[in-house]
Amino acid sequence: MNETNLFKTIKKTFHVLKVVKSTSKGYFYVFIMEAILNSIFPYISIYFTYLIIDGIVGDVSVSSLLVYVYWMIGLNLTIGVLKNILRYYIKVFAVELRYNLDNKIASKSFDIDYHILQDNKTMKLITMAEEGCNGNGGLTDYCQNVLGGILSSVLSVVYGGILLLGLLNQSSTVFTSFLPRFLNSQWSIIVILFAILIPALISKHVMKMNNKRSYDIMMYNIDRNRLMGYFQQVSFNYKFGKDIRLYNYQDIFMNKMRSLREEEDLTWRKYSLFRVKMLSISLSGNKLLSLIAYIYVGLKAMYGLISVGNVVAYVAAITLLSQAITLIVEHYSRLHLYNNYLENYFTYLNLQSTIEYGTLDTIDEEDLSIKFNNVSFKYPNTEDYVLKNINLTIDSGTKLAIVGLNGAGKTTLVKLLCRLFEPTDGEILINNIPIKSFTKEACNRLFSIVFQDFKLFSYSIKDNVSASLDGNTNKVKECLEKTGMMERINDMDNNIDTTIFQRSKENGVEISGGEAQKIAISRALYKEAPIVILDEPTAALDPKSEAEVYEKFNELVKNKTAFFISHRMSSCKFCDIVVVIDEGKVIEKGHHDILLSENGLYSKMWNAQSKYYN
Amino acid sequence: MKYSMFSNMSYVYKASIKKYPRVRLYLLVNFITELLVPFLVIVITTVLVYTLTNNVNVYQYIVIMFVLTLTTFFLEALRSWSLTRYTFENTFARVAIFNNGLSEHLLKTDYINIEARNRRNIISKAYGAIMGNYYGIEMMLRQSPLMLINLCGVIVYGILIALYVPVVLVVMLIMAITNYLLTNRANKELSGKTKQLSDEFREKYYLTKDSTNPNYGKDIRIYNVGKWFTELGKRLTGSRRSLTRGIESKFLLADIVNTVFLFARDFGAYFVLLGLVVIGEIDLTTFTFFIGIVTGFTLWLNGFTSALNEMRTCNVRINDYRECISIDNEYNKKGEIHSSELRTPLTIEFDNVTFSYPEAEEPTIKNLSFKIRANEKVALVGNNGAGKTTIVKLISGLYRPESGVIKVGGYDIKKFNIIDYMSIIAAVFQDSEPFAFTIKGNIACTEDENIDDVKLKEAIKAAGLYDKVQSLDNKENTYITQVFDQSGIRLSGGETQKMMLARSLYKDSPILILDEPTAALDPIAEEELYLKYEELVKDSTSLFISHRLSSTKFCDRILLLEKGNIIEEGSHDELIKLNGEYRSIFDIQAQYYKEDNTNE
Repeated sequence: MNETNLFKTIKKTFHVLKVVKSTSKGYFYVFIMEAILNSIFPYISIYFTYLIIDGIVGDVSVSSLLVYVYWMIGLNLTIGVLKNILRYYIKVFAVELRYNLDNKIASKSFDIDYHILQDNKTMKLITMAEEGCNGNGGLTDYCQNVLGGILSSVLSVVYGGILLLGLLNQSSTVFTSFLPRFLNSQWSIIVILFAILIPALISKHVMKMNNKRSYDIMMYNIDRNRLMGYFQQVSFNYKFGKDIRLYNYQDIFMNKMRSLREEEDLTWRKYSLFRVKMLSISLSGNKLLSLIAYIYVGLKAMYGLISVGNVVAYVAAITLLSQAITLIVEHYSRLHLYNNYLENYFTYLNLQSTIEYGTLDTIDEEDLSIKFNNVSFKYPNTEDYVLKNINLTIDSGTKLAIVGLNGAGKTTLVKLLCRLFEPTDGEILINNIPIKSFTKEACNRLFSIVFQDFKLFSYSIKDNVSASLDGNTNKVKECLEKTGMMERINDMDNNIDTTIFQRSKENGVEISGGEAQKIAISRALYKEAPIVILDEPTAALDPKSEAEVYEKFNELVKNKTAFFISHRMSSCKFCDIVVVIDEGKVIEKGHHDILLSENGLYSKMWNAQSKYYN
Repeated sequence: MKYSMFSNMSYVYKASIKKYPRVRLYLLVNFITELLVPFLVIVITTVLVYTLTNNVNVYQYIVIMFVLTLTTFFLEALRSWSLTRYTFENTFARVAIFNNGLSEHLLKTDYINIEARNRRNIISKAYGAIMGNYYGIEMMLRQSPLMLINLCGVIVYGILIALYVPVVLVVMLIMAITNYLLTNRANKELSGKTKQLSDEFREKYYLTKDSTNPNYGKDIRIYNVGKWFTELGKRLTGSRRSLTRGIESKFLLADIVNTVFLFARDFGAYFVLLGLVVIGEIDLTTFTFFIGIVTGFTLWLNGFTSALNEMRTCNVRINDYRECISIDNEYNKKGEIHSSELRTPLTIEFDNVTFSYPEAEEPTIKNLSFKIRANEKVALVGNNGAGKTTIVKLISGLYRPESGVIKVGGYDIKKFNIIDYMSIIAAVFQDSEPFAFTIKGNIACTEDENIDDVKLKEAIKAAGLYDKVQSLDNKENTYITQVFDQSGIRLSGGETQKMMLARSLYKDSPILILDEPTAALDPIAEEELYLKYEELVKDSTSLFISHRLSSTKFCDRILLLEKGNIIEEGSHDELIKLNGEYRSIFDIQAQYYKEDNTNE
């Protein structure tokens, strides 16, 4: 424990405490009070047992002995009940602490820039914090056991020290032989002081070895849990179930799981032996201290320097004291370990968004133009540009189709526009004003987007469409009507209040990909944003539903600006402009009829599909 | 299905001792040391008081203390050795036997058992028995020895107490009964709320996961889902808090009553024992000894009741586990006929087949009959929900018909062993997702050493994935996702579809089924597949499902499905001539392409 480390640890600990306090004040106070009570509790019995034994030896009257008994069990009762009550509050407040912390993290995830959220490093922060905590009992364990343990141990050292002050009293009897003379001198207490340090020093050494091992095994565990978790999740997920059965994956899976497990058994068994070894070494230190204490205090009593009651009390106090010191040493290193896991949470909560927003809050939605000005984009730390020098002007109310081969960069273009990513070069203008000048809220109001990999959540259809808890029933129904989903919903038991998917509640209904797509489009309509973007919205729809979406498309988006990304070339027909993207560049641009006559990639793609219908 | 606690104990122990026989030794050593260590602690204090009050000589004292301390050291070391090792082996047993056992069950049980909602609930409950160190099976392995040890402690100490302070024994036994009843009441409150707790836990779990899941980040941002989720989070927090209050207040009462009984115990013990000391019946040594025994007795008793309570909770979960694992299965049934006896190419025949999903009111498919000739290329078309995928799953053997017979190659498919039967089917499903293995592992579905490299390359080429694979640093050895390898990659939707196609081609089965294999492909890649299709399926009987009716042109025959019935069938030209439903669907899709020709 060198100085800077100790200082750093204390600083980090206070940081954690600050977050605990701001997350649940109740929990903060209750766990501290519990630690204080825990430290007092054992000393009551020690102190009164000493009085009672000495009373018996000294032939004190029964009534005064009983007074001690009343005091002892009375205090035990009071503190016992107080501890029960505190325990109750700890459990209640622990819920608050855990839930509020999760809520804080969730809020951060909603707020932080998307490009930061989807960065692997960010995910790692969360995983490390969660797994580090879960593997060790979590934040509540950190507070109650580690911090609480340290606090009550420190207090215990103080009480024990005060009690042991009695050992300094010298008897006036003069001894001739060395042993009793030494025992009577105040210097003899050094023996005990050294003895108390033995288990602490041994623990420190053990902890040092243990920490390295613990950290390694924890990392090993996280890794293994991920692998085993994968197999378990796959075997549980019926989506994989079909392929697993048809392609006879069962035995491959089982073999992989078994061999993973066998290897893990070996590693953990080795670790368990190590643990036993460490425990035994710690134990030997404790027993050595006990022996020294028994002999030192016992001999003192034999020479009449202290009473029998004293012996019982001192031996107990020495044991408690040494336990407390050992605990401080042990908890200190756990504190260090925990601080490192928990730091990930705080790093996460302190992540800073980098996307610039301005102060303009109003955008003229009636006359809305979009301009891509020489926009290029590549992912951080990669060489290749996904989009290169894109120049596009989209007038208000334009229906734009974007087509291209798989991986051409179509979706990336959309992500740049709605500011999930920032262009590497160039800029995007809305009504000729750089998009950066608008507030975040204003930017978010602009877009209704159905992504190719859109997600719905396992709540009611109504909540999904309105993306809130208080959606307008009529408007929700209207939007579902427009996408042709209402017919199916009217067959459901709870109409639009039916929960979809089976994740959060058991009574959810499974919906097909096509139905999900219709709900997602309804959600986009409900938002009533001035720019509507549909990325492969009909991929899972049957021809009739597809035609419905096409036919209603103009009605759906009315005079809004709309983007349509699709592999179904037929969709280009009803768009004003088609943009063909290939390898990150706009290679063709114009109306369907014109592009078709140009014999470029567009006409090639069109003919590939249309020839089957002629 | 309810098993007794004893039956469940023997169930978990038999399995765990069979795989890990060494736990017997740990159990025995632990049993002895757990009983001896606390007793020795009392003995030491007693001996301490005795030697000091009875003029024992200094050297004898030192020797006695040395021997006692050394003995305690060895016993305690043995205790922690046996406990640590035993606890670790418990975890091994839980994971290696029961976790893997459930996974194996899920991998092999009839597909309907993992897909149907009501059966999924059974699985979710079964997970409760293996979800961690302190639940179900592992908890029972932990608590059973504790129950036994504490019971022995209660009996031995109880006899000692009965000799001198019977009143304490009475108080303690009343305490144990009251404690058990009150804890039971609290547990009942808890188990009454279990469903609510687990529902809410699940909701909370997914809410937290979804909130931080980057895959959901786009929708969350575009639709301001954050506001919605924050409100949900607040509600869940409030509800969890009041639930916890309700349950914990019951436990609080039990705890306080317990503390009051401890008060009564101490009062009784000290009162009686001090009285005995005063009248000279017992000396200080005996007094100290009995105070130790009384305290120890309470520990044993509390240990016993808490172990018993834990065991009852575990019991419920283990019952759930056993219910799930013992569901009736097809997979291990012996076949009457083997696939190798079949003559390829194969015919497929539905004879009056009816199928309904568990809990569904109406059958998805009712009295369906049709026949696919050997080596025929059939297209299955119809609206969303018409029953196309259900038919595919029936042919694949994933579902069993409720009534009627499905014949393949002339034999009822019930007569095959299910795993053997599935070897003749290759299918690409709409919602297939890749496994986190290598590309070649995903395609060949076997261990690396069994992979036929030539065949693999052919399959990759045929599926149009060759260029992509060649562009990767590790070629076909590239891992999908980073679960098993840091350099793993993700494939796009179109690439995944191509890989799934390659898998079905590699399998080289006499029946090939493709369900929407082109949904994510761009027009060029789609056409490439169409052009190659004939070559790909030349030796098989094949079924092609697609919403893109262009794909039906190269099939021999089209089956048009509506609400589980075939309403039209014939070749593309025949059906167009028929001027029925097929024609109208085709026209709907074709109009957007055709209109253009007139413009030209």
